[in-house]
Amino acid sequence: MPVNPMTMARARLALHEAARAHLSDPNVGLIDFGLPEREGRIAENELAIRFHVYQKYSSPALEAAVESGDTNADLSQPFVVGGFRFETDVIEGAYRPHQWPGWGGWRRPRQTDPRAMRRDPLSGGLSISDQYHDAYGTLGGLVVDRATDSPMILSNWHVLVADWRARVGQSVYQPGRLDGGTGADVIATLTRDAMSLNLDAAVATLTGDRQLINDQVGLGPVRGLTEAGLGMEVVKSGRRTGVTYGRVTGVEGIAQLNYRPLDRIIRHVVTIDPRANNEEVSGPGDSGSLWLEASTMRAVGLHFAGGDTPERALALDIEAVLTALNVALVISE
Amino acid sequence: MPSEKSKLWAIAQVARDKLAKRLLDHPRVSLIDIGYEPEGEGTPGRIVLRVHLRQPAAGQTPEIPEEIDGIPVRAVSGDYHPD
Repeated sequence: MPVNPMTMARARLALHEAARAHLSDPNVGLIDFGLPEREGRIAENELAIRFHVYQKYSSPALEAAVESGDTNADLSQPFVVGGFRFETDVIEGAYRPHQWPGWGGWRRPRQTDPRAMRRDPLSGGLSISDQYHDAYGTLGGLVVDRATDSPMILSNWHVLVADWRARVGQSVYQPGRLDGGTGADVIATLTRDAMSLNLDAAVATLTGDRQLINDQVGLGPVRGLTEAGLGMEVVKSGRRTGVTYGRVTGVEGIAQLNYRPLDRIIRHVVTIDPRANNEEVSGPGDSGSLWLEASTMRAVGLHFAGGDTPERALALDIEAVLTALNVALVISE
Repeated sequence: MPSEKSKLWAIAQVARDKLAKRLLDHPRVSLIDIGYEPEGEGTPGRIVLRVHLRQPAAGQTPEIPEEIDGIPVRAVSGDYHPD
């Protein structure tokens, strides 16, 4: 829905005030501005300050929760800033500090994990995030803009853009915010994405402060490109689960996934299963990793999603991604 | 994968699109792809269309055809989220 600039400006002010007043609330994981839920459905024609809480309390329980210090206030009341009133929405499920509640298993970084640390030079497999969300995803690799030859980083839309209202030019941090990244850790600025072409992929132009080399943490350089084939053994290096292996079991898939609040069709999906039972292939935070053919280190896919029951990873066909973004992957022969 | 880039593969791609048009909006369907026959079913190594289904809580099981354009269709479990 289009939002007029004046309303948006007021919303930013309200959001700032809401964050100042409530972000320290132990029950609040995220505050944003968006479409509220009304009676279980997304209200497409409304906008609200949204408090993402770890636990939503009914009225009687809320009083007890405030008394016990589990939360600080009733967040459902309209928020008034500068004489302007904003409705609010309290959304349960933001257990993980990320803009899309409901994803599984975010965990705080181990301080010794080298993928979670500030690195120079940069390489694929490291923690990154956009500037606004307490999250981390994975830096996929080095690409070059086919139009300008500018060096860029490749990752997912939901890692580099991460919001339907995001703008070109927003910053990318390494490490990601959930790994302690701050405004002093900017490595790139968002340039374009391919979500409109049904691909969860994006690129950001390097600022030049730190060099990005063709290297995947724990694996070495990417040595080429190839098409994912059924039965192919593949490997990736990701922020969350590190180096993991899998086997391609499906290609040319079409998925429908939820990028709250919207469902999106995603095309050119490669399906990757564990090589053996009980093996892990991926987890939340691995998004943006490059899947490589294990025997040749040639890139086949860009990781973007996964599931636990059964354990399985989804990637985007790398050729489709590169074509859509008009970039070339930097490889070593 | 030259052998799979054959007439059969082209038929499978068209069949996948037909199946996606029919089923992808169903709340239990998360993904439709082209893969090998799941272990323990049918002929090993045969190309099939796979309909990945979310957990039953997401709704009723959709009606899944046995085949489309001669390509067998198989249901597998799969509930995916952006990582």
